[in-house]
Formats: sequence, C-alpha cells, structure tokens
Amino acid sequence: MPRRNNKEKERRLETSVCRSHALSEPQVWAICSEHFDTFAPMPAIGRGVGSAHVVFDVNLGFDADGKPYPEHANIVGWYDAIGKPDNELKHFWMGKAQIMAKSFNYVPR
Amino acid sequence: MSTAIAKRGLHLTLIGHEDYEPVSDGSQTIRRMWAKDRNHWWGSASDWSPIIEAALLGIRKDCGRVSWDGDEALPVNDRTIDLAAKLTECLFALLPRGTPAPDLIPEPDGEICISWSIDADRTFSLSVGAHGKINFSGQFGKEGALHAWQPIDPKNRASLEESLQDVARYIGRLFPPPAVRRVA
Repeated sequence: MPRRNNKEKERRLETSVCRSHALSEPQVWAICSEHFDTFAPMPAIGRGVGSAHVVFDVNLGFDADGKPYPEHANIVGWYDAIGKPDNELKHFWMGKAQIMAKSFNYVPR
Repeated sequence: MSTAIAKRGLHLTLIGHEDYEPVSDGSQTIRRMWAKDRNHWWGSASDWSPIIEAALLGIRKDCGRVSWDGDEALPVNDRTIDLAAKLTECLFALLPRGTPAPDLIPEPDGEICISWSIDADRTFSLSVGAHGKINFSGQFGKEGALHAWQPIDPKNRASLEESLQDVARYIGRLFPPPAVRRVA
C-alpha cells in the first residue's frame, strides 16, 4: 500500500521497496538492519519478494531514487485525484495491492 | 524487489506460503478445501469475540502513538478501535455461522484493516477509520474482483447492519456453503 510523501510539495503516493535481485541474503539483511530495524519497534522477521513485472502488470512503475541507499526505489503511479480525500481513494490502492500480493513470496529472515 | 515484514506485539499477521502451486482445476479445488478446513478449525464464528478483543487490545497498546511503525505512521485512535469492534460485531451477526474470524491489521494511516484470506486468489479486506467511511477490496478467483468505498453510520445499529449487507455478501462469497450430497 502506498503512503503520501509529505516531505515533498506534490505529496506523491509511494511504496518503498529494495531492489534485491542482485543482492545476496547477507547484503539484503544488512540493508534491513540499517534502514528498517533501527527505526521500527521490532526487527523484521522476513521479507516479501516479488519480480518487477508484478508491478508493471498492474500499470504501476518505479522511481529508483537510490535514497537513502543505492538499491532503494519507490513504486509509483498509484491512482490519485485532486480534491478527493484519501478515504475515498484507498480502495483503488487496496485493489492493486491485493493483485500484487499474490505474486509476492514470503522469505523468513 | 523486497519489502520488509515485521511482527507487531501480540498480533502476528499470518502470511500464507506454499512452494506448491496447483495447476489443474482438481488440484486447485483440493487446495481450496484444505484452506477451508484450516480456516474452520482456526477460528470459527463461535469464537470471534476473544480473537477480536485480543487483536484490538494489541493494536491499542502498540499503535496509539505517532510513528508506531518507526516510519511516521499515524496513531490508531480509540474511536477507530471502537468502530472496528462495532463493525466486526455487526458482521459476525450478519455472516453465516462458521465463518472464520478475520485478521485485524493496523495500518500506517491510522486505520484498521479487517481481512479474510482463503488463498492468494480469494481474499477480502475492508479498511475502517474514524472518518465514518469504509474502503473495501476483494479478489474472488475466477469470479472476478471488486473495490469500492461507502459511508457507514455506527451510531445506529440498524443502519450499520443495513450498510454492511453488501459487504457481508461479498465476504460470504469467500466461504460458500458446502455442497449437499444426495444419496441415490
């Protein structure tokens, strides 16, 4: 599910992901330790892994911003409508997230 | 592409994971029957109340402050928790006996997701917040998918039940009644 980026004027809808295809397991979990576990109340117990085509298949895309680490990207292109509150748009995002979720596999830590 | 998954307090979001992917119609039917059987034993309609109460207690304890997820999540406030309790109580009354209890999952926008999942292709989620609207989305395998929002009026039980009739029907599509076998 996306979140609004309130740090930028456009308040774009984004879902934060790590491009893990070329990374080893220790490299993935090192990123997780530094950029997730240190902020979250509890460390991650696993990760959801999916191919990029899953995102393209639902007409979403990526913005590989490389921040705060080189492999970071945001899933972008979520349906948005100026003047409509998020609580009337959320179902669009839920629908796409449900379709994508079927193609993600859970990998325990 | 990876996304981190964390366990939160008392409540563990269950994630189905099976290496085996059924291909034939027969295998898919068998898998659905396994899932249905698992759901039957895991949380039938007769024991929704303790499951819901425990989940909401965990959410109240763990998600009541700003950035409870470490990533600027909005707090899940008491009004949202009370509304989620009313909604699940109402859905319990509307759904057929034996319908398994849902997962209750706190969301970063301060809402609570009430979710049923049979398998990857058959799932239904509704999201409730203090604003008095519900957003919902369902995947029903070969029978299609839907998503929408609607207002609800939690002050009045009768109008709440009325507004949840369609949602209850959608959830019911995940749990079709067992086929009646006739003896020849």
